[in-house]
Amino acid sequence: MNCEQINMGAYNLHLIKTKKFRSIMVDVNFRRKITEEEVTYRNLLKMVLLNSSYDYPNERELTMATEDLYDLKLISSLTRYGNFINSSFKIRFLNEKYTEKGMNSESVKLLMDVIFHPNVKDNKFDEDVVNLCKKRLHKAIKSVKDNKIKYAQNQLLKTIKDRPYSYATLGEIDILKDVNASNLYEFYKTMINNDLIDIFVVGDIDEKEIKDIFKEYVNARTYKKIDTDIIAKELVPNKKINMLNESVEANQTQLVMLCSLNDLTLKERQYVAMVYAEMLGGSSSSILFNKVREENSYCYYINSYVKPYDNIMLIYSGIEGNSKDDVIKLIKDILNDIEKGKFIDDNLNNAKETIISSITSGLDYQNSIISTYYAKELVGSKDAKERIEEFKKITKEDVVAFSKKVKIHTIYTLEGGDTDEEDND
Amino acid sequence: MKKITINHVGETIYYEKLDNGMDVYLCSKEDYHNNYVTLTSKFGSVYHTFIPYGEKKEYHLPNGVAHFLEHKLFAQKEGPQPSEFFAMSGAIDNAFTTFKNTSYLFNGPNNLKENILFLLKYVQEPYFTKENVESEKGIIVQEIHMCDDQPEDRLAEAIRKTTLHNNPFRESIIGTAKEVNSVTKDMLYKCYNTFYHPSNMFLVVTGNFDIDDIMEAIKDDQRNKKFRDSGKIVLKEFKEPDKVCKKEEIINMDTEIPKVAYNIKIPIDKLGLSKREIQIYLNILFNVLFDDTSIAHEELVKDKIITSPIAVETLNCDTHFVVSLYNETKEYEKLISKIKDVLKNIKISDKDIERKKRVIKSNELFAYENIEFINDIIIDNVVYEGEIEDNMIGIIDSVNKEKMDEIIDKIDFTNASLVVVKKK
Repeated sequence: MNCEQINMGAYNLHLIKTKKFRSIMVDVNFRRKITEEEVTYRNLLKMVLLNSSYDYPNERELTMATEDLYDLKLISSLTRYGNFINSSFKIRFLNEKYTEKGMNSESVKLLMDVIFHPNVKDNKFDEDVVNLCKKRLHKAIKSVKDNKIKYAQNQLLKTIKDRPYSYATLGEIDILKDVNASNLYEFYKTMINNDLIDIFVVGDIDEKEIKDIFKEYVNARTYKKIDTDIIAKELVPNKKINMLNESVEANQTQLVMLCSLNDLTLKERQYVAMVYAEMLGGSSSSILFNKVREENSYCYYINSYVKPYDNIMLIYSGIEGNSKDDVIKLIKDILNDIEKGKFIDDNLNNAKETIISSITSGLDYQNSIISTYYAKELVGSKDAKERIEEFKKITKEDVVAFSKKVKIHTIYTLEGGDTDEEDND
Repeated sequence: MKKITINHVGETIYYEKLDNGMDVYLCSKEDYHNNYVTLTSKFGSVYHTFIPYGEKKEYHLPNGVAHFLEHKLFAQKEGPQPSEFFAMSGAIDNAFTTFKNTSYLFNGPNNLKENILFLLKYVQEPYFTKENVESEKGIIVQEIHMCDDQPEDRLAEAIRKTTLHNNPFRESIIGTAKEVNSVTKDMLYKCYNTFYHPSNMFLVVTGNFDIDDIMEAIKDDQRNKKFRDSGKIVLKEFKEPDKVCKKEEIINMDTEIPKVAYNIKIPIDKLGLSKREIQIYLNILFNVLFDDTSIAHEELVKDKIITSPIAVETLNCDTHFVVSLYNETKEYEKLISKIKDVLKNIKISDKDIERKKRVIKSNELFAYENIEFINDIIIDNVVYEGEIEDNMIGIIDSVNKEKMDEIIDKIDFTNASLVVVKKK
């Protein structure tokens, strides 16, 4: 599998040719430096663009069109990479070898239509569509609280001001109120014209055919784009851990710990941080899982994950409210032990092997293939083979040195325990 | 070794029944890197009343035992614990319990043969002690609390409780804290001895590997292990009335927007088709009537009753299908009355049917791109039908308007329950 990168002027095209898949994936990415306001706009915009287009002016017609194209999958997502906010619009469709001739270009044209030929009249989006999508987004923002695990993490991150990760991922209701069909269209134009654009194609494709489609449709005209540093500003480590809590009506208490990471080297950011987080709480062979769940039965899940480009790490678990202090103490002890090098080689080797496996198996999925090549573009990361070699070289000393840069910054608990024990029988 | 070629999809599945009764299914795909392996016992939450192996009297389990057993099979008397063993080669292990089966699994690109043998070893060598059973209770209670805090899980439980009377699909897979606390080591051994004999289990390997080599290793391993005779599994029979159990249930919990499901109970034996065919017809019918390509959707959105599309879920409970129409909206009363209206006067065209057939067929092709989905399809086929369906595309192709009209005539669309989860 190799990737051909072509500078198309206003955008980069990445063609990844492989016969491995029956389907083809095309992913169009727009990114720029994040602002709080923009998160809401982008969330709404992806809903509006996927709802209808100029040729298919309502949801029903657009969905039927995707079904006629052998159930083409039309997907949009919003992701943050450090200081960047990224809107992705993508399709996955069956290669015409398995359907009928002409379907490849028809499918790509539908995506182009959705992105570059939206349902716009008189310099604004269709009012009804915008209003419907506003309601949908409003509902989604309100429903975040249904997922207590996610909600607790959001609540904690919100308390950190002035960092890209402190903005709610779905946006804010207060900002949403002021969005309308005209200002959203203005925003859309800035996205098309000012954002950095990367397009990925994975599958068994006719290069010339697809390039011609992009040349015809990709309606981005601005060639001067402002790049930005992806790495978020570090947190100042807290001398005294910040303790926060909130009460909700729930059975379980959610515990979330935010750790600051400071002065990371390039190697730590790209490799060691991942190994550390995997070893600590990546899977059921991790230290946290073994000590907190298996040895002490405090929880069903406990995980840690690192955001190296945000300079933070999170640990989270669902526990019984009255075991909170014991669990926190146990986790602190575990972090201290790692700093002192008190962990066995198996912990480290297993974590490395798990990461290496996931890089290898990622080659079986179009999504992860795209992520790998996009990471190259975003942070200059190396290809799968080289990364595997780098991970193999990580030593215990590397992990211990990194662990000294991990400091608990804030501990947040979303406290439940108010509801009566249910017994349905 | 039998070769099963999946028509139109072009994939091949290899099958063999071992001497000890275990079924093995293998599917290898060129160019892939990862492997996905599942070992399944045809024991899930619905088998709660049975005659234990070697006994004569019927035995009734509290809810949650199949799931508890799943947790505890990971315990090893000595040597590395499963997660540690699999992690050594970078593989990830897991397990899940459903209504009719419990599956133990791992996935990873390396060390396939040794990992399969270890999977067989740990599942075939139970080690339950009073202490390790006790220490698991706190963990499972936390899992129950996690589920109880999720409105969708509460809704799903209530859908089954309101539609079913005696069918064991009615009962919770995970159980309540009280039930879990009543589980004993003996209970787990009774279940294990009755349901985990190789003749009630099957192994599925999907990924990229040498078929003969892997099959030989599995056969070799099993040939050298001693098992008792298979025994006959005797389950308690039940009669399930066709009518729903309860017309309405409101659950109060902390959730911003009410969640609502309208659940139609459909007897299987009256439709004169196989379960697989019924499932396809119901899927097409209800999606044409209610998904985002439907007229009803367009009208409901226009009237500001819903904002997002109605989701259609089908549950196959052996005796009945329960089709649930799900949405989140404050205007759920208006939504239900609209659903009832649509169902009173069903209109479905040839064109609609053909479009949905194309959708289902395409998704069969999409699924075979992913080794995890292929594994899932095989498990589903074996658990629900006892064999691999090699002509799914042909079955979908045979769907026609005439038969659809016949089915519509036979279904009582008013035989339904309403479940709402909302704030007090």
